[in-house]
Amino acid sequence: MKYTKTLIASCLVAGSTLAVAEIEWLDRQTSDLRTEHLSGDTAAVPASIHQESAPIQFSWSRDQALAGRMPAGDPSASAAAPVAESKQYWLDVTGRDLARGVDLPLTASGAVIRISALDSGTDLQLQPEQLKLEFNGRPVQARFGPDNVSRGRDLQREGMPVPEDTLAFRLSDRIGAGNLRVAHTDLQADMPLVINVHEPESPWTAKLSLPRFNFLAGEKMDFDFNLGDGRENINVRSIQAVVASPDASQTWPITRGRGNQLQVDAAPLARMDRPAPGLYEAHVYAETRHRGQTIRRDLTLAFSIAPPIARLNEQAARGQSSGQGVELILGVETAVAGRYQVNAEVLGTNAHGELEPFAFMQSAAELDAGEGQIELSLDPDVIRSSGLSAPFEVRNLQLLDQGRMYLLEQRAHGLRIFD
Amino acid sequence: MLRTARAAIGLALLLTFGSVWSATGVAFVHGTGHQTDALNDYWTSDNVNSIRQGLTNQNNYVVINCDFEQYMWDSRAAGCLAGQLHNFITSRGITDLVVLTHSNGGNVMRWIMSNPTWDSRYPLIIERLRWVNALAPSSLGTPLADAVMQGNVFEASLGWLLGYQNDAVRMQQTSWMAYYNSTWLLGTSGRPALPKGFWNVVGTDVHANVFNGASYCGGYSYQAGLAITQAWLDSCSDGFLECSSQNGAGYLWFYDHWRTDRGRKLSHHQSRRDCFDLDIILRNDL
Repeated sequence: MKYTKTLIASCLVAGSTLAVAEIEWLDRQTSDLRTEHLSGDTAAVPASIHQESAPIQFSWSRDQALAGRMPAGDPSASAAAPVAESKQYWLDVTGRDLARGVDLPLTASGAVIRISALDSGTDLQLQPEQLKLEFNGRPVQARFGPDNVSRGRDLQREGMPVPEDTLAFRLSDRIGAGNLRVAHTDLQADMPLVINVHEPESPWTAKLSLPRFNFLAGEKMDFDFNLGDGRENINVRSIQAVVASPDASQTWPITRGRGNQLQVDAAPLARMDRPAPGLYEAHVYAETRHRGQTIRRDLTLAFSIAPPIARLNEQAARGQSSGQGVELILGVETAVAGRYQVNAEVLGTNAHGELEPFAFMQSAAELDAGEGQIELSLDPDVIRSSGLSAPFEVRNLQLLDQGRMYLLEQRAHGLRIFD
Repeated sequence: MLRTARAAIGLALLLTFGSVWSATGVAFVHGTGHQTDALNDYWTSDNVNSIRQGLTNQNNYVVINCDFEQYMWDSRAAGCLAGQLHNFITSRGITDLVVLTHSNGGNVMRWIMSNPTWDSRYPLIIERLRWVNALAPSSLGTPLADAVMQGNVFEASLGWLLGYQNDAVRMQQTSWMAYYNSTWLLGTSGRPALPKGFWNVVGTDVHANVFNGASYCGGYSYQAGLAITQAWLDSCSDGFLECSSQNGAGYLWFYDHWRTDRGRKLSHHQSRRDCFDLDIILRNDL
C-alpha cells in the first residue's frame, strides 16, 4: 500500500505533550467526500444553531453493544447507498377534476387507490357510495366489501398518518391492467386533492439510486433510474425530475442523459437565512407505454448537499496521555465559525498482524473561522481490553457540522498511527 | 478485634447502601406524538406498574413526556428526552439504567447514543445505560410514511412537502431514515456499533378477527384499515412497521412469538401494552 506520508505537526500541539510517534495519512479513495477549496461565499451559509458550547470527547469499544446479552440475530440489511423503489404514483387533482372523472392507468389487479384532501381539516366528505368507476370504458360497481374500503380515521388508527379527509379502497382481482376512471360526486370544485395509486401486485418497479448520500455543493450528481418487471428494464418515454430544497421553497431540474440516466451537473445549494432541518429530495415522475400498457411511477430519494465550509487540513499529531491511550489532534480548516464534530473508527493490530476494528472515537468543539483543531482520545482501558496493539488505523473518518447538520468530509481510510 | 469491627461496619454499609451504589432504574420512552401524560395515554399504568415490579426500588422509574413530532435531534425531542433522563439519573442516583422505547422513541434514543458529543448531558446517560430494549423501533422507517408524504410536484405547489405532516413523519420515510442511518446514526449493518446495547423486540403480525381474543389486547385493530395499510408492508409486519425496520439497528432480542404467552404475535399497539406476558418478560429483564 502506498502511503502519503505527512508529519507530526508540533505547531498543532502547543501545550500538550508530544509523543515521538509517526502518523501517516492514507490514500484518499474515489468514494471519499472532500473539498479542495473552502467556500468563499460564506454570506449564504446559515448561522449555526448548535446549543452546546463545551468541547466533548467520547470513545467506546465496539463490544459494549453486546455486553450482557447474546444476540439472536444481526440487524437487517440496510442501504449502503441511497436507493428508492416504487410501485406507486400520485396525482394532484381538484374536486372539479374528480367530479368529471380522473383516468388512472393500472398494470395489475389488487391496486389500492387513496383519495385525500391535500390539506387537513377541510371537512371533506368522501363517501364510497358516491364513487363511480369505469374500467376500460365499462362501468363497474364500486363494491369493495367491508375489508377493502377505509376512511382516514381507520387508517390513522392503524398508524398511517393520512388526513382524516381520506377515502381508500382496494380494487378486486377482476380489475387488472387497463384504465380505471374514478369519479366522485358532490365535491367542492376548487378543493385540492391528491390521488395515490399503489400497485403492490404489479411486476413493474421503478428504482432510483445515487452512489452516495452526501454531496458538496457544485459536485456532479449521477442518478441511476430504471423501470423493470424483474426480467427486463425498459426505456421510459417521459421522465420529469427535480431536486427540491429541504424547505421545499426551491427546485432545480434534473436533466436526462443517455437512456434512463439522470444527472445534475452541479449540486445546488438553497439560499436560506437559517438552517432548514431536513434533506434535499429528488422527485422523479416516469410514464411510458409498453406493449399497449401505460406504466406510471413516482419516486422520492433523500440526500444531503452541504456547502464546502470546512475540511481536515491533513495535519495530525499525537498527544500522549499519562496512560496508554491514543490521543489524536487533527487540524481543521473552517470558512465559518461553528461546532464541528469528528468521528473515527479505530482498528488495531492482532497477533497475526491483521487489522481489526475495535473502537470508535467522537469529538466536538466550537471552532472559529480559520485554522483550528479537534482532539480525539481513546480510553486506555478500551485498548487494553481489546488485546490489540499498534500500529492502529483510523477509518471512516468524518467531519460534520453539528449546528447546520452537514457532513463535510468523509474518508474511508484516514490515518495510520505507529507506536 | 479492630479488624472484625471494620468488617462488621463494612458489611452494614454494604447492606444499607448497596442498592444505592448499583441503583437500577427504568425509563419508558414513547413513540411519535406530543405526549403530556404518556403513563396513561401511551403505556397505560397497568403496564408500567407491572414492569416496574422487577425493580428492587419500584420508585426508580420515569415515564418520559416529550414532543416526538419533531425531528429526533430537536431540543423538544432528544433534548427533552436527555433532560428528563439526566434528571432521573442524577436525582435518584441511578447507576444502571434500562430504557424501554417504543416505535420512533427508539430513533430518538439512538440519536443520543450515536451522538454523545452533541450535548453535555448525553455522555452521562450513555455511561449509566445498561441497554435499550427497543419495542418495535422504526429504525429503517416505514413505507406508510412514504405514501403520505407525496403529491405531484409538476401539478401543484410544493406545499404538500411540508403540509399536514409533522417532521417526525417526514423523518420516518424510508429514504430519510436510510440517510440518517448512513451519516448520523450508528448501529445499522455496516456502521459502527452503538456504545451500549440496542435490543429489538419485533412484532410480526396483527390480528383483526372478532372471534380471536388476541385481537382485543391493547385495543381492537379494525380490519378495514388493516387491509389497506398492509398493502404497503411486507408479509412480516406489526401492521405499521415491517420486521426488517424493527430489526434494522442494534441486535435482535426476540421475535414476539418466541417468548410471548402461547406464541402470540404483537401488533404495533400491543408492543406498548401488557399483552401476552410482554410486561413480564420486560419486568424479568430488570
